[in-house]
Amino acid sequence: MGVASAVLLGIAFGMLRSGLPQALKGNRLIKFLFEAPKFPPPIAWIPFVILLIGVGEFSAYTIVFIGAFSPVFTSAYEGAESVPVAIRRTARSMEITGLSYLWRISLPASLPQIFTGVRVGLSMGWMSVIAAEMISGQSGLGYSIQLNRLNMQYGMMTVDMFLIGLIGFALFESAVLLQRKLLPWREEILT
Amino acid sequence: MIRFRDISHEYDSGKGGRILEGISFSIEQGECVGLTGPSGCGKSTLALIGAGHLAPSSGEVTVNGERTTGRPGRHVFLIHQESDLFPWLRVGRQIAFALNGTCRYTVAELVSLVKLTGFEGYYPNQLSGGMRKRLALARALAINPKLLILDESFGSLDQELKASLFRDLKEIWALTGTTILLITHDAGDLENFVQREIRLTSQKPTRIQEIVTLPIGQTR
Repeated sequence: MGVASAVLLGIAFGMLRSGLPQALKGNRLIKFLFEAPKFPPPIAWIPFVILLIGVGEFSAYTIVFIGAFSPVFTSAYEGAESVPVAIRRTARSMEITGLSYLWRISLPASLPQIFTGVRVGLSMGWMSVIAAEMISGQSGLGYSIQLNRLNMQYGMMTVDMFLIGLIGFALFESAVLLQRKLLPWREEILT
Repeated sequence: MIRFRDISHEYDSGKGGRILEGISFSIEQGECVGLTGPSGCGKSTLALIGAGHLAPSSGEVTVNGERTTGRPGRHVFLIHQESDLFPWLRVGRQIAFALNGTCRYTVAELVSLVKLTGFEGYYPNQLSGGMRKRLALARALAINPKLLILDESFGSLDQELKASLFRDLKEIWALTGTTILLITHDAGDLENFVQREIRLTSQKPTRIQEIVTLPIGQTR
């Protein structure tokens, strides 16, 4: 849920930022508002989230969201900004502008980059949730690592680490599979 | 009628970057005109100005008397040298995407016209270079522009393929009556095709050197 909302909002905000008039896009304050929140690492948000929302499922979703949003948002914005100029011109000749341009041209053209962001976002989200569990969790692999550390069960800690890696890899690969399914036009099948 | 009237353009305003000066010519409906000149003389700049993607420093472009300068739209369509196809749309969808009410052809007819029947379900990256150019042509016909500009559109292809595409383009032109401005650095491309050739000078700023009327079947 945290990742899904990060993907949806990340794409929406990335596209809308790209759709801003050139003067606003170049404005330093606007740039600051979009760029600055990316720099504090997701782990730094954990105390604030716990303070504001408390410990529970919703705070876990929020931490995952914070970890995953930024890479998706950045990749959606950069993908929309890097649509080849020939394609932009062709769209303008077809009189596709405004929101229609964002939906029909920018979004599909940016999907490969968005998927790169989703893969990074999934990893970040996964790392954030483990970190959150380590700090304040009542269950989960992060919590298990902490518990095993306190009990000096280093073998079990290694198992936890392995599982974190395995699940992270499975998440990453599932995004790759989804990309192959949704973007067959990116496959290089030259006849 | 499409008219380029006294077009001048400079890229770096006031720093001696004038590239085009006093370019004036017109193209009648249904005519196929060639525009030739050495590489770097400003042909592509003129193509962008014609399609409304670039506003000239001075002068204007009109389509049937309506000023279209700096205003891209369906009236003038430019096929670029580099790929301007939408990679996420299959052949059939690509053409349907561009189709509007004024085009008298259906998607199937356009696909057949450019000899892509059977490839409707293919993505652009699954087509050969020549097929991609045919698809770009079909999509341009679907838009049904008042003027179709081909800016070195077949330039990246080998000589044999290029010749075959020009033969097909000639057939399509004869069949559809689309008004075409064919831009090339190689006047040989226009052989047996265009009715008039506009030759640009090689010195900067570029001007029109001469406009030569060619009976079809003869060149230069």
